[in-house]
Amino acid sequence: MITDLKLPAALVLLAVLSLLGATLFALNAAALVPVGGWIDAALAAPPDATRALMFRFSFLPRVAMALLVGAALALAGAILQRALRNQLAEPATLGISAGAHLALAIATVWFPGALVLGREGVALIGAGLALAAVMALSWRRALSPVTVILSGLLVSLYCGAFAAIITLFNHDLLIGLFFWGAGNLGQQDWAQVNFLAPRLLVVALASGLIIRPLTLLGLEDEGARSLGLSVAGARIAALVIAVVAIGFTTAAAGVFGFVGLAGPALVRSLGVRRTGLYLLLSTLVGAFLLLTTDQLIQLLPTTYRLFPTGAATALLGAPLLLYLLPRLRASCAPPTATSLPSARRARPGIVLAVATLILAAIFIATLVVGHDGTHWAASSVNQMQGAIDWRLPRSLAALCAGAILAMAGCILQRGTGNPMASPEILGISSGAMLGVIVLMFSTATASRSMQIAAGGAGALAVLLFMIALSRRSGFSGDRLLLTGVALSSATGLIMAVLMTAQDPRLGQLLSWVAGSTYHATMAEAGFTATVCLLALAGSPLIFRWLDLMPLGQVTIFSLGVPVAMMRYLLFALTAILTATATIVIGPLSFVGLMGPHIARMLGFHRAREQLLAAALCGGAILLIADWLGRNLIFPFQIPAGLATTVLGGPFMLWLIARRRS
Amino acid sequence: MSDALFSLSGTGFRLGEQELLSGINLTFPAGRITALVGHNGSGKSTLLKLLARQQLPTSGTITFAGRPLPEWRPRDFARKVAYLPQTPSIASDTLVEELVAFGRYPWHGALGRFGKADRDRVEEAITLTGIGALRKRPVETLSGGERQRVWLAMLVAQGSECLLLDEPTSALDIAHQIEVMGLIRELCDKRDTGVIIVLHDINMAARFCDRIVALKQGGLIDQGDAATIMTSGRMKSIYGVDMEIISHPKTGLPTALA
Repeated sequence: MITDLKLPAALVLLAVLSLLGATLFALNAAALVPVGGWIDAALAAPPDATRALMFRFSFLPRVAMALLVGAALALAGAILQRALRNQLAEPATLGISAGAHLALAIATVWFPGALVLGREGVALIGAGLALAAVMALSWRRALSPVTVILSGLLVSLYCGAFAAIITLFNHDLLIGLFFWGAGNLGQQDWAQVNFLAPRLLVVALASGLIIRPLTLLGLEDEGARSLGLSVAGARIAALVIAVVAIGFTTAAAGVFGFVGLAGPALVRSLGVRRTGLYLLLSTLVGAFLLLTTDQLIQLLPTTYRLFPTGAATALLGAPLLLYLLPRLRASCAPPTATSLPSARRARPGIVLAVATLILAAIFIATLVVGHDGTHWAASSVNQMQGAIDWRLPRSLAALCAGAILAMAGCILQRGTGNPMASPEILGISSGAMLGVIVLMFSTATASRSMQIAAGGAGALAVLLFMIALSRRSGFSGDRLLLTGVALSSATGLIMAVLMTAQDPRLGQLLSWVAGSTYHATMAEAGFTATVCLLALAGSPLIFRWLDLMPLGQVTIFSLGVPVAMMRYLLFALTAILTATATIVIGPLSFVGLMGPHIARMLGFHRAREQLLAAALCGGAILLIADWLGRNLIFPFQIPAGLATTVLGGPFMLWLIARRRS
Repeated sequence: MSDALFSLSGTGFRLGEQELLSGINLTFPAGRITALVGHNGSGKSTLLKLLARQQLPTSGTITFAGRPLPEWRPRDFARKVAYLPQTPSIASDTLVEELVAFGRYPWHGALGRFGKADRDRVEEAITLTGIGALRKRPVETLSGGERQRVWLAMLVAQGSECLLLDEPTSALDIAHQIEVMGLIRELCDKRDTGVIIVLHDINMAARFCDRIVALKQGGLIDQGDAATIMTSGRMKSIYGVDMEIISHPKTGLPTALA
């Protein structure tokens, strides 16, 4: 009933988008070939008419590519969001694009010969390997949504970190990959369209066949099973269809971030629920969203036309999503498990105390032991004073920032009940990043303290915006997370512009984005430590609330918890923690996302145990990663953020793959 | 006994175009079990949600113990009134005994100590509902019937003088239905707990409840003692189906046959 009531709204959105796309198309096409000559030029362009040739072999295929890519990714996103029962699922979730990206980076740097396979071939191999890894990891748990999501995120982060490290050292070789990585639709002929179109047609037909199973997958697994559905089978079918769509699209056109998330989210926020209609409308909205964006870019002066469309989707999609999100009804989907099952630890208090002592020992070791270029050595007492001046701020900042981010992630995941929630997804980091970017472009010589102030101001602006939004729409977890994603994609857009423009200030920004303690001063480390200790000391105030979260809003309310105020406080707390850590060491994703999961998989389930364990894990991982990053390839450095993923990833993989005890 | 728990005057609730409840004037007595019956979509659950303050009425007022609902502070209200929704959350990653202990929140709040009194009430609730064997199990691994009893135990631990239950027997077989209804009856008789319960089975309502309130299409259509309401004519007006009322051969209770 609701579907039918809201259908007009979705159709209006579609009509507006397609009309806008068509208008822009007409404008751009008319610039090349006069209106009357379109059909002639499209069918047969005379070899001497440059503009007609461009129309036929560059402009039109580009239009076709935009429609195909947008449609395929939005369809894949819609399928994934249903099959994994998570509104944040999107093409990037399964690590497919990241796998393809990494494969291309490796091939470009070390095996240029492999590129004779064609970019498509290499990308497909990478995508296939990534998928195989995700499947292997989640197979034992019958592909439960939370396992697939966690494995996918992990593979994605891991491939991303490796690709970033390779890029860091081979920047010049990989510039071409930037364009690809940011999604570029430029075409020279119809080859890619001919490659993509028949394959996507098969995908579309196949997805038509899984509409019914998908509807049932929206139920709880038990319910779906009782209706005679093979849950694992249906989920594999859905995942494979989505992955094939993503794999081919990525191979042909590169990585397009936002459209796969935004297309389905827009359709859903307009109230469409019936599966078939939802898939169809998502596909169409995705296609026209990308077309419109791409045509907008082509309106720009020639110099800017290289500008990657994938990143620019956020230009149109983010404001739309921000506008429509308040209408998104709270998810009707049944709650899913938010964590992997694992045994509870018998004496959490003692284990945590011992772990704290071990962490303290590691901390001291990172101050004493280092690599001097030729061999590893512990500093002598005489050397210690100098070494500590250099090492203490960085180790302390890493330790405390890691702990802070893991705590923020823990609060956020418990509070929203979404295992994909992580501090960076709140948009706070993006705000800080924007602040720093604005500063870099307004003054030539920005001191470190000015950067911190600018980052802080940016974070604060986003924080206030999000708080205002959460008050207005009554803070629903999913809505807030999606808003954060929309904001983050806006930042991604600006980063992509900078990368495309080859701005010299980029290097500085990149090292910050990659998460680095390189610039940390003692004052900053002290500040981070203070916030960390305050958070730890204040955390008992929220343990009870966090414990109650799994009961669901209705029961929490009926137990007399002031729900609105609680959410408000928890959100503000998370935001402040995130802002603190982000400003000092940059927007790290791994620790905040994975810290809480690691804590839980180690058997710490109640809020107080999980929060403390997450803080210890987060602190330890970042501390060790920072230390290794500083020493492994001395005198060069690997940014702590990347090292964190490379170090923490295998640990997390081991935890996921471990048999249930 | 005759104090009113809830009083409704002219209470209505509309969602967009739809009038889900309208013009309800009603009093629920303390220390009694009142069944809410009616056809699907008659507004039973909506009425219960309004009583539980989960939703605000769009017209009219509701008072509890003489005070309008909006004037109650959340925890004070939770000490008086406990609510079990029709489909409680699956409470992932929570052990049974933890879930029951969560019922003490209204008493200790976010910061207060979980003291001996709290512990005693939790033990009492676990014993009373007979879920001792389940206490270390994660809630998500329980069967439907076990889950219902565990949630009921949480409400018992909450120690409220009024329970609002939305079809607490829906997932249960007949033996467990009788067991749970017997437990609710016992709570009422021994502790003077007032209960307002949505029930589908009119015979279950007649057997265990003191009063029956019937809704139809969002309006109050009938109310009275179980014995007086169980007639063919009144059943026909509530459910729109011809029913025969016979006297149970053993217990002598009125029993409806459709």
